[in-house]
Amino acid sequence: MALFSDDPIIACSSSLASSAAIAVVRISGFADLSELVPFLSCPVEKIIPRKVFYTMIVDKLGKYSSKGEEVDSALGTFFKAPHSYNGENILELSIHGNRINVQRVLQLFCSEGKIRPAVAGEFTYRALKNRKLTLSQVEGLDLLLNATSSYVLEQGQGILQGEVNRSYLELEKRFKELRVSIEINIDFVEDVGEEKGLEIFKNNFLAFTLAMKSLYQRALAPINYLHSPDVVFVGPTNAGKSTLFNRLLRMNRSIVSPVAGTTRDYVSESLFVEGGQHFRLIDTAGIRATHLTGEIEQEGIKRSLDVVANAFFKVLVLNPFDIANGGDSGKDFAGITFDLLVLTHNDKENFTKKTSEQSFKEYLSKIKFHELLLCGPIGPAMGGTAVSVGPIGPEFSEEFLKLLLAKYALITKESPIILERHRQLIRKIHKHTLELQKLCVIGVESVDEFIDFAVAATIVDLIGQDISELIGVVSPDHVLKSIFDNFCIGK
Amino acid sequence: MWNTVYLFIEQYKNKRMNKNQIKYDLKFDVVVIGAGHAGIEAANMAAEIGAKCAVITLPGVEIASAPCNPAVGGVAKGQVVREIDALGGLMGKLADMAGIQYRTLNSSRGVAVQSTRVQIDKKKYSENAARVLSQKENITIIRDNVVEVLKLFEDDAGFTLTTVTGKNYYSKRVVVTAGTFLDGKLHFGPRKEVGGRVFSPKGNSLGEIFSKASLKTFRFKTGTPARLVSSSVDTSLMEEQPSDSLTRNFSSSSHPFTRQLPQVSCYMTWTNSETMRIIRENKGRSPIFNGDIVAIGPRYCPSIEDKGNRYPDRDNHHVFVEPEGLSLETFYPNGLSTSLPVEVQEQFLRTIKGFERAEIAIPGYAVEYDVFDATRLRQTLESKDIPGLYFAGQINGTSGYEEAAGQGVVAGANAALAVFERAPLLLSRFDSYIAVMIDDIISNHRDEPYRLFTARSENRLYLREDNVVLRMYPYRKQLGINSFIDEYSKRFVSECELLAQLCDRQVYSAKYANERFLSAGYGAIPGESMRLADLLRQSHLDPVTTLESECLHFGVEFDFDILRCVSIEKRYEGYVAMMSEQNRKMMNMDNTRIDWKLLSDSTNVSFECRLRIEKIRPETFGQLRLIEGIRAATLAVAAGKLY
Repeated sequence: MALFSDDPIIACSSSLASSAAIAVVRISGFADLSELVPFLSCPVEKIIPRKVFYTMIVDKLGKYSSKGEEVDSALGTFFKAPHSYNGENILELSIHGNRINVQRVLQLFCSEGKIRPAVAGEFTYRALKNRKLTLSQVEGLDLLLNATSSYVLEQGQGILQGEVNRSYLELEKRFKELRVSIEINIDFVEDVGEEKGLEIFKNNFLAFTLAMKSLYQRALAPINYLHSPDVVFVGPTNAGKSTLFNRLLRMNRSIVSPVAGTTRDYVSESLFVEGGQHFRLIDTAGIRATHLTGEIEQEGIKRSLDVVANAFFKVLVLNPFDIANGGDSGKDFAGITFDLLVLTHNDKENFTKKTSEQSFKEYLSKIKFHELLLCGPIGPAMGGTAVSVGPIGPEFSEEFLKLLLAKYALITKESPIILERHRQLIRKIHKHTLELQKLCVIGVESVDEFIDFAVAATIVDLIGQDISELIGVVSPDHVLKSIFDNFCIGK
Repeated sequence: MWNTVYLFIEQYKNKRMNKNQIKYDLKFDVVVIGAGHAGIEAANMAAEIGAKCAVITLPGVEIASAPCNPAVGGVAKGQVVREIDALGGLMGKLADMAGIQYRTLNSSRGVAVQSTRVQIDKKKYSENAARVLSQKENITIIRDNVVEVLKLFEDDAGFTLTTVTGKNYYSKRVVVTAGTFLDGKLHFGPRKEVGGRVFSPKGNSLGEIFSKASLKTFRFKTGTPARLVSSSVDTSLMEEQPSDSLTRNFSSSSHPFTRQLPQVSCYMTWTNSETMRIIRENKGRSPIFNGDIVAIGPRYCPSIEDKGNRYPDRDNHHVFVEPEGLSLETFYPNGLSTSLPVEVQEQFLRTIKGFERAEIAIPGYAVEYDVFDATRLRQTLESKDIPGLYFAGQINGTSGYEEAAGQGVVAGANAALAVFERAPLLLSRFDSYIAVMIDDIISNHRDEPYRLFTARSENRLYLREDNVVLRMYPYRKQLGINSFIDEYSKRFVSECELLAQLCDRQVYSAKYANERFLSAGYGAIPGESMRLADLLRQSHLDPVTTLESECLHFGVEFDFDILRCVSIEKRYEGYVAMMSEQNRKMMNMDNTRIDWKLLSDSTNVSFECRLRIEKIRPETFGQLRLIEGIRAATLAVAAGKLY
């Protein structure tokens, strides 16, 4: 229940995971700066909102340390309520980033018992409470802060204050106009006139359907892989997986950050591509282990196969000569369609025996894949249009990335909405919009155009409930205000 | 309604007085102060329930007068008038007795949102109201001037009322319906007068009157147009709107379509660029714009100078020319409310087609008045601060005769029910517009006079005129009275049930349907077999005439009112069910009682919310939800009883 108490709270808002030069400590929800007098050397009356000031952080009362000493120096910025991130008084202090130092500063501020450590997400929770952010924006912030893929990160930003939020606000605006036009046709027909009222309704409904159209497309577009576009490499040991893997990570235009493998069954690395996209490269080292026995190993293989099946971009790496020599059966991959097949070991001789070539071709015919990359001079023997990129080098990486990004562009083309809650709401709104459309087209009772506005109003109310869940509340008072502001009412 | 009123509410905690020391002239169960639209309904309901009742109203002031437009009803308001009638109130009957032009509004907008409006003969309306009230058993009309209301004894809930003529009355409950009279101030351009309306006296300010009980008041403004001498207006130049003979009379006790008075027409004309030029040029002389009036007026009823200012590009505004009565020689030019100086009024009026030679009988004016903070009231309209004291009508910050009357019914009924220690009459906003209004005004402080619109209801497909008896019958039944309306409602409800069953059970086989539908002119309706109820749902058919002709076809006979109610009910059944499912969830939650005291003491609720809760003192979750600025977290605390 701590979430419901309005005490002043404090937290370190930058990462505490490792020591850095600067850490940002935020205090939120104090009634007045004077409450912070015991901790700041800078006289609080000199602090001007949104102007940076320099101060020592001190323990004037000596409650924290017996001596009442200076704890650290800081640059502070005061944001006065309601003009702050969460609508409360906020003081932001940039202090030295050493973890021990940060802990000491936090403890000092909490030592008097008036300020307490914030619960995770509490600053934002207060922003929601104070209507600084809508629920959708909070969800966007959550996406932004916890994104595991560049797409989700971008959408988080989009929902928080960018393009997605703008489309929602646009939809809300159009909805409000739609509701206004309904009310005009019921409550204010005498003031506005029947024909004029109908015209306003038609225009506003059209504008609403337009605003809805693209959002609906985006709510329909599939979102598989977008949370975590994994690139998985499978293939027999010594097929060249690791060489490929490392080659990609060594590209001049990619930055590698080591991420420990989440299971013992595979290792993964982050691949950031120029342009901001992020992929997780997974090497399923343990998957080719038909000779492994024991329950644990079997379980491991099963898990690895799941990883392959659910991956965004599946790469099979094969050494034709191993296969030709009866090295691998490949039965584990039955049913999987690979995005890319890479044939490696171009340093080996051509197939010497006709039989080996035959058996390799036979083997290959059982494997399903979309694209083929050859690394070596075996191309002509394979026939077809496959690209031969020569040794596993920069050319290979370029070609590989081209294919990867092409598929990524395909799945992000419609800019799908990621959050399931939003997708469902948008689809519901769309359903009601169709109903309304039907009502307006079919409801022809006489020569004059006739729309049963009582029913239209009911459907619009249903849409309103979904929109209010998506973005915020549109109350009758808002609608009436909008009517009085924009239309001449009053007989 | 009274000249100088001192309504001192004092608890006299330390002053021990003997009840027998005071000699009362008369003792009542319920005294209603004021005899406007709210006052007469309050007295009527209290008397019906069996309370001994008095109405104290100023000598020489008309009962139930209509100081603004000469019409009763309108969109949402028509529903209120019928709700009042079905609850046993007077307004529908009085409107029918004085109706001189009937109109069905929204006839082109779907059957569910149609409303009735009746132009009334103002003089006859007042005369009839006075007669009906004086003939009513249990009601004493006292023409006097209340100067003091005291609560003398701690152990007695009753009040002592003293009048200017020195009479003392005792009443167990008091209903205050003071209208616009409290500290009223009229503006005719630069000329000011005191009073609640033209030719009438004013009352003291609510601030003074309630100062001892520290009741909060606000200042509102409203306005009215000039009245024109009928013979000076040339209606032949205007568009005529005759009375609609197919509009049903308001009251169930009236014959549906027979009018009690000869019918007349209303007319329509428009302002033009010359009219608006004069109005805009004189903007500085209007007290609205020169700072004389600071009170807030209704946005839905702006003065013509307001319209000129807000819509600088528009010069053609409607003017509805409405006769004020058969014998009253005046027209009410609806849409031209103004507080400009009289000579400017005359000047701009004469630029309007048909008004070229118009003479002003009474100039237009704006009125400023005190209103009481209605958020201090319970759903019964009883004061939270002074138990036993009820407020109803325009004093609560509403506008409109119908809104006032609706509150009068609720306040009067509850005052009487409380006298007999019976359960209160609590209407739900999901089946009554009166409840929508009461909910709205007691939940939030309003920044302008409150008027009902259908948009304010969550359930307007159900809050219709045709089914008002069905909606009000359970409430009326609760009052336990046996009069005409009770008999009528009982029969109405049972016949509706019968016809509804017929609609659900009558099935047309595929073969028969085709034959019947083609011969009845319904067109081919694809599908297998079909129920009569499904037929009524076909959007290309008018449900009422379809059911009428099917009943005729089957040889069963029902009243037109029953046919209309059931056919419309069936037409919207699906939608109504969908909405009531939504509303039911909300209502279950809304009806949950909450403890505002615990909530306002809770550390789990933000300071700001606590202040709001203390101010409004919500009794149910629904009321809490309606308070503006209540945060989601507070609702969560209340819903989860985490206080």
